[in-house]
Amino acid sequence: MKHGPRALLATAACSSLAPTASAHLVSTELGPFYDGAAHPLVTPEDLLVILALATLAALRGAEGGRRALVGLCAAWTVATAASFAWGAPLSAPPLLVAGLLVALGLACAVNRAPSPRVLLALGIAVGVLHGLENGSAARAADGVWLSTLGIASGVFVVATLTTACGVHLERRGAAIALRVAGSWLAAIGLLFAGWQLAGPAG
Amino acid sequence: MLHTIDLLALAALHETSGAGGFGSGFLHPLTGADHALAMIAVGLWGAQLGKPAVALLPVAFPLAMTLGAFVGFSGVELGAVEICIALSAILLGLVVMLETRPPLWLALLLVAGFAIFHGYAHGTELPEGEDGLRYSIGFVLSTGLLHAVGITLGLVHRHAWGRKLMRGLGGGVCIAGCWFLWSALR
Repeated sequence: MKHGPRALLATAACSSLAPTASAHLVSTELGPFYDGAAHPLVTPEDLLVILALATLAALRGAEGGRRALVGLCAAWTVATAASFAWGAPLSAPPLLVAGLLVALGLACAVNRAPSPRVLLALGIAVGVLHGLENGSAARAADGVWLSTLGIASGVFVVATLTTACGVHLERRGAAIALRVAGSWLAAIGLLFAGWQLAGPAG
Repeated sequence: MLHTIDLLALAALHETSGAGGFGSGFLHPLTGADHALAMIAVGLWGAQLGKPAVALLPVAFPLAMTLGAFVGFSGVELGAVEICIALSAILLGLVVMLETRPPLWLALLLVAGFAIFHGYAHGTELPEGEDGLRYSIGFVLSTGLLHAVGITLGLVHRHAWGRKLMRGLGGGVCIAGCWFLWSALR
């Protein structure tokens, strides 16, 4: 586990280009739609960034939440389908995923939610980044289009529920809970980046 | 918040690559009494200090903890980590026992400073073959829940008997910290 600064920099450069560990759907035994719907729930790299964006958007109230939700879900669905149709394996660099998580989490922690327009753009960026990778997972499944629809539904449900809970808390004057959640997400993102820099843990 | 925790735990329990980590990450702060008591004491102290410290201390702690973990990743050797963790329990117990009310920045600095040593210990103890992300999710969640336990216990602070109870709990943490220090020095 001990590495010098040079080794850390070299590993950082390599890992920023490396694909993530797995690209398959978990089997729920309920068919491809449910396999796809479960995917964002059981893939931490996807779930954490959805939670971070939804929490940040909730700090901007219902308007911010709606914008982020539309951008995220639409971009995620289109990118997943495009990635499948394209046929080439695509993956998000782990350091980019970690960086995104840290940025979103820190913005929550310091209560600096951007404008609804920026949230829309962030939603699209996150959706494209993760949707492209999810295309690879959908491709490996039996019913590709049903899996894609399932993934889109899963993302929508998680993002909507989280945003709704966040907006509810924010309206009740409990925005501090969102800031605490943001700090946890940022901390996980920083640690994820740290493990990437430190080299393969497993 | 609970919804978020449920989802994170669900995600972390699914181990696609065959590499675990959530369980060991989650249990790491819980199975080390020195970590657990210090983090509960942070929550107790936050409850005593009231707003905004009650919210800011649990925000500062995990963020500073990651800095400590980074120091561990980078291979820098921090000396006397166990001693500093024991000292964190002693001092945090002491401030709760004495109901110390320093300026907010000083409270944050103290908590963040100790968090670095706790993070270092977590960061250098990833079990072989386990997944770093899931391990991180586990120990950040566990740390946050320990703060929440402290804050929840601290709700009794509004009662006169509750204030005495909290001071007693602080004293208990302080004594346990002295034991940890003795063990670390032996």
